[in-house]
Amino acid sequence: MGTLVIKRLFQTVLVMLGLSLIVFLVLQATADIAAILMPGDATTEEIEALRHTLGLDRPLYVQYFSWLGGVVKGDFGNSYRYNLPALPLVLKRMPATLQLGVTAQLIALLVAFPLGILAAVYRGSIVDRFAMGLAMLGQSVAHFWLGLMLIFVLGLRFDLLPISGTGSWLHLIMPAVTLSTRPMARTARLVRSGMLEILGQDYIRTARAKGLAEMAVVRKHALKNAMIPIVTVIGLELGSLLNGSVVVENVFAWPGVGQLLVQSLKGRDLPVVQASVLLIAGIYVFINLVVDILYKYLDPRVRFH
Amino acid sequence: MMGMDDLMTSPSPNATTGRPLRRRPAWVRWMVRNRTILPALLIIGLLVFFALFSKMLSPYDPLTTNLPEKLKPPMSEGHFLGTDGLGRDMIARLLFGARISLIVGLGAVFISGGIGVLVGLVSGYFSGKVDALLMRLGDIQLGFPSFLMAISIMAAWGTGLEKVILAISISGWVTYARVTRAQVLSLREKEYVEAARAAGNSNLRIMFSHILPNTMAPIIVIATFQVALSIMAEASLSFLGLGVTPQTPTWGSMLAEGRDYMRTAWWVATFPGLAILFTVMGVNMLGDWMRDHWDPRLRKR
Repeated sequence: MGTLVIKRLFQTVLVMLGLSLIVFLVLQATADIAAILMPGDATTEEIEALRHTLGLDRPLYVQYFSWLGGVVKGDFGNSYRYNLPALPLVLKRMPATLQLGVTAQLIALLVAFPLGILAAVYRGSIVDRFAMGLAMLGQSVAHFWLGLMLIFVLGLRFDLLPISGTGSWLHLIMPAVTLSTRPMARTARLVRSGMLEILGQDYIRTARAKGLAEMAVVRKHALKNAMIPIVTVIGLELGSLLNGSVVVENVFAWPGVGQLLVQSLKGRDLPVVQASVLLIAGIYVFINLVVDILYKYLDPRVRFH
Repeated sequence: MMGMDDLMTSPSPNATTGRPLRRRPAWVRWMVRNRTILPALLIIGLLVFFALFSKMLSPYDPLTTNLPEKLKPPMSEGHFLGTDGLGRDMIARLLFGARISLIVGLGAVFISGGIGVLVGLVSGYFSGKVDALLMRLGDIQLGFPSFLMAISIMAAWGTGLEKVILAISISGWVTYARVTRAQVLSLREKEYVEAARAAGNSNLRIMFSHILPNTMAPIIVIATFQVALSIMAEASLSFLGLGVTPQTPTWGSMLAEGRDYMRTAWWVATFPGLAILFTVMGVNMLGDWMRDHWDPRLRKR
């Protein structure tokens, strides 16, 4: 087990290096930074001079390694806009994003588990259809639209909830509910199909045959065994929540990394963009790693490739 | 496996008696048997129809502003779904948005599907070092949240339809590659492939005319889901102002504009959102249905 974890860690380092290369190539090499930094009426010579001062006329691989050298030490350079180190700017936004993501995940689980279990136990019934219909809606609705509709109905029409920003837990409700739809839908479907598979097993028939109440069969025998694949996907969903939070934060003016990222993208504030992208991707990779190791721990039958 | 769900939930007369009372035409029987998929097919059919004939169907030009007519509510004279903040007809803009959605959805699928299937074929067929390298590349790609990748690319390249399609398709190839590779690994040991090799067929010919056709079912299922994901991704990019050029009417950018009128004109943001919802739902339903009917192995995903 130990060596497998080390192997997996090594893989993760490789993935992170690959990611840094992508971030560098996409953002640094294709964008003309010197032209971005100079005022619009700058002459070609002035831009050329700045390019030289910034070292942008060096070969790409030299630029990459000097950039990477800084990144490893947490130095992404200064934000063009705030003229402050980029990484602390991003880290300051992290708690808000995590708060939103974790709340959304909790809401998703609280709704998805009962929904999925009921759908499986009463397969084919109206409950099942309702649950799966809801899951289909949750999977197909655009976050930003649902967010706007909630703002319109709950915020503007009935004035029940604050429509943007932070301050109280009331501010958290609408963005978290909006963000929870996708993981909720997927988890509900997964719980249903996992439960259906387990409920068809022989030992469930045995449990029923010995006269156990249906609730006990579901709770003690089925759910426990259905959990393993579900845990994996929940972990992976946590990663994809980060994707969704970029959009949702912008709808609700939630002061997290996603909002900062889009602001910086529009203002072409490259150091901040690179720091946020690499940080989010890093969290994503880290979650995948933890899930893999947990999976291995939960189910000894699983082997790493 | 065919139609198990239908048989169990509400059996049609044909299915229970096994012997139809009156023989209905084949397509009617197919539709009765597969009625769960009809709404999805209807939605997709309408989308394609609207996209193809948007110019003919559209009562107005989607770009022409008409300030005196701005923010007319739905059911106004001449504007069934109302007008936006610049007096442009909502129906006209929705129709052209359908076109963009369809182009992006299909374009992204063809690019990433093409690359992915090719990588999977090569990787699975030749295995060894090429395989290891390509699959590690895939791991790196999967480590990157796809939407983050797309917005970074859009920020670096600037707006534009072809850039949107590329940015969305870049991260999509891995799933195709993995599924194709797994299929190829098992297929290349099959006797018919051995026979084809013994008959003197070249590697290329075996790969493309003997193995590829047999990997298609799961690939089409993945492609269907990717159409839905791509339409959603395009809408999200446009919503953030990082998508197709600002003047082009897309559902995402219409929504972003509608955001400013939430208090006074609910329809500007509501209709494009509904269009996205129905389209994505129709495509997802089709994907689910195909997965259940064609490829039970994928069902658990």
